[in-house]
This record gives sequence, structure tokens and C-alpha cells, in this order.
Amino acid sequence: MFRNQYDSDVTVWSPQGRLHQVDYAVEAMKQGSATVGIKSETHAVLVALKRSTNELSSHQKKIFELDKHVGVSIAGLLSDGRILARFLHTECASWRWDNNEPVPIQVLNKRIQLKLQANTQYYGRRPFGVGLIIAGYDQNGPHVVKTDPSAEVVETLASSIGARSQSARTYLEKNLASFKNATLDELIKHALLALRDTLPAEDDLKYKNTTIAIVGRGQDFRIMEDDEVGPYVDPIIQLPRAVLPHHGDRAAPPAPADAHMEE
Amino acid sequence: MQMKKFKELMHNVSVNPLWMNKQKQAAQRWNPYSFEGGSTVAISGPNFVVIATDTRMSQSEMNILTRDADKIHILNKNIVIATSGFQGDVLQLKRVLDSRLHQYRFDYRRDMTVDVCAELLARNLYYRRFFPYYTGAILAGIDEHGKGAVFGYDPIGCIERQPYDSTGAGEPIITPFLDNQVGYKNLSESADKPPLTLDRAIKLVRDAFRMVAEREITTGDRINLVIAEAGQPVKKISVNLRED
Repeated sequence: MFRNQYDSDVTVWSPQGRLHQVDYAVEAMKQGSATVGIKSETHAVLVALKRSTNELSSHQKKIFELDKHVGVSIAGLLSDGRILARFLHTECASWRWDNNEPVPIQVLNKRIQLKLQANTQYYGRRPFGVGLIIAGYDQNGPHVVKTDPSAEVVETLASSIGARSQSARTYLEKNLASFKNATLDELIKHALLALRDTLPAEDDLKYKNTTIAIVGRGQDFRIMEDDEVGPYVDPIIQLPRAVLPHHGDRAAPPAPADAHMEE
Repeated sequence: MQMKKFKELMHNVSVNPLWMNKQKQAAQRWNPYSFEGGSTVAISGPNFVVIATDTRMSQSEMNILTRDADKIHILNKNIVIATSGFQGDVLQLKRVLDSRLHQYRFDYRRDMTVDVCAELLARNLYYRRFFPYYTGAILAGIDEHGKGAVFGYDPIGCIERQPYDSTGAGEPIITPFLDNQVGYKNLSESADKPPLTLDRAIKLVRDAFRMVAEREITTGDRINLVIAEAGQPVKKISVNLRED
């Protein structure tokens, strides 16, 4: 009820201690199509649902390769997401130029956090309406990092963002124990099953709306689209749906349901 | 007072004596370039390209700095650059190209092709027109039509696509040999002109380097050969040469 008085600006706190503009930006992220990221001991996998507005237009690209060892999947305002992807790419390139090695994921986390936070504190700016899942592999192994418009950047074992992603998170929580030692193929299968749970009952994963990206030990970041995802999507389509998506996603509690570890 | 004047005159004499002319003065000045010697060769065929350099780095044509230098740089699966000349500039040029290729991959979501990279290198060399990269660069790879491509440059970016090229200390010796055996120049009408296969190209390269190693002191030790064929991963071979 009082939200309207305190939501004109990102620099205005509400009496309940919330920044409403940031909350609204998080809502924008929840409107984007779903994406899932999981990691094992040796690999990290990203899958995303590409949305197309109608039959005539192409599907929007959601996964970007930032460097040989890291990539990002975006959900929300894709145009904001591309700006962030380009920022991350220049951070990767400038680290390579200065240090002649691939950028450690921790460094990327710090940089993106500062960039996102700046837009939540200065008058006249607006928060980025997009969430990112960064998947990368560095000296410390694989990483899956989730970011928010609220500038919360957190390393996770598995995460999902976008529309109806709570169903995906439920699947991920249930199967968390089997990710660590999974093979690459098993990991992709888990990710696709989690992604499928976010689709309404009558839809299914298809070649043209699914993107898969993998990175890990001995594996450069590689994006697979259209026919290349066939071998992974075909077995999934044949499996029956266990869970239908929760429709109360937007009213879901803000507590993070994806398991995360200390950074 | 007289002592001070005397010291000043003595100092001038040692730094700038009467017999020292302009040329000798210039020779003593600090030179931003140094030359490590060595030679490079590249030959292109209908669906392959062979690039080779020696592995010796020398100093003032007298010392050997290393017998194990890597002068061929593989930029991506389609593009290989081989350079002779000032190795400091070579390394920086490689960094610049790596950075631009990385950017290209993000912007266009695929690897850069040889033709685009060739033009990019020419421009980058010319940007430094007034303090050049002192390198004799050769860019080679498989172009978009699956044919072998070799691009030769001068230090400030004059680009030319050629069937074969050579740079470095051995260039005056290798070029006439390639002109005759690959370009079939100065051969009589009835002479044998076999088609250029990968095997023949490799043999020619090895012979060329053996020839130069005999006659030229800054070339020797080992040949690093890189073979790029259409549709196959890049292959590397090493062949030993004279060590003297």
C-alpha cells in the first residue's frame, strides 16, 4: 500500500527497509525465460530456453561466450544483459592482456558486483533488469555464479533464474547429491530435466528453443544450438514429466532456494 | 678553477673526440631494435599450407641466445603467423592479434578467418608507421574456400597474397630456390614441373632450410614445421638441422 510513495527512485528507502526499485528490477528478471546452471567436480553446464515472440521471428540468443573458459546465460531484459556480457568480456580480455592468463572467476565476481551495485545507489540510474548465471572453469575448478539486479553475486552448486524457475530449483535441490560426481552427459541431462520442469504442461523442449553450453577440465566453453542439441534433447523428450510448474512463482519467498556455498 | 676547466676538457675529449664522426656517434647511440636472426618460409597449396621457421636466436650474429626458440605462433585453428626480425616486437604483435581475435570471437560468435586477419595485421602494422614493428611477418592459413593462403608483409604493412614467401636472414637464399621449384620460373619448356603436393612442399621446405643453414650463421639448430590442412587439426613437426 505504501509502496507507491517510496518507489519513485532507487535512492529512496521504504519504512520497511526495502529499495522498491531494486525489487521491481528483480521482478523484471523473473519475467525472462528460464535458464539453469549446474556444476560437478570437473564441469559446469548451462542450459537456457530461448523465447521467440512469434512463429516468424528467430529465437533470442541467451548464452554468450566471454572467453575460452567462461560464459554467461542471461534472463530478464536481454538488452541490459548484453551490456553486462560485453562488460564481462572486456574484463576477461584486459586480464589476459595484463596477466597473460585466463581470468579467475573470483575476479569477475568482484567486478560484476561493483558494476551492478553502482546502479542501485546513485540518483538517476536504474538497476539492470537482468540476472546472470556465469559458468566458468579456472584453477579452483568449475564455478556457477548467480547474479541479481540487487547486486547479489553468489557462487552456487546449481541455480536457476527466470520464469517459473522455482520448479527447476525444486528439481535441483532434490538431486543435489548426484551432481558432484556426475559425468558431463549426466550433468547435461539433469540440467535439461530441471529446465523442462519450468515449461507448462503442453510445451516441451525442442531443438530450436534449447541452448546448451559446457565448460570444464579439458573443455573450452562451447555453445550448442539447434541440431547440435539433438543428442541431448531427444532422450529427455521421451521421459515423462514428473513435476508440473508451480504457478505461485512470483509470490515465492525471496529466500534463495538454490543451495549455495560460501565464496 | 683551472682544475675544473681541465676536467671539463678531458671529459669532452673522451665523450666527443675530434676523430669521432657522425656515423660513429650514431652507432654508439641506444638502438630500440635488435636482431635475433633466423629465417621463415611458407608455401601454400590447393588445400594445405606449410609454414616453417628455424629455432635459433642469436645476438649480434655472434652469440647464440637459444637453440629452442618458438617463432611460429598459432592464433586459432585457421591462422598461423611466423615472423623473423626483432623478437620483442614480434611478441607484442602476437599479443595485439590475440586480443583482437578474442574480441572478434565475442562480437561475431565465431573464429576470425585468414583473409580478415590478414587485413587486420596490415592495418596494425601501418598504425605504427613512425615507429615500426621491426618484423618480417608471414600470415598463413586455410581460407574460406578451403584453399591454402600465404600473406607476406613488410615491416609497415604492405600486404600481398602470394603462393609462397620467405623472410628473415635466409630470405635472399630461399626466395630464388622457391621461385624455381614452386613458381617454376627460369625453367626450360621441357623441364619437369610436378604438381605441388603436401609431401613435395615439406621436402622443399626441409631442403631450403638445409641450404640456408650451410650458408648463413644465424639459421640452424632445428626447423619447426606447422602443417595446416583444410578440415584437419593443425600439425607440428620438428626436424633437426646443423648446430654450427
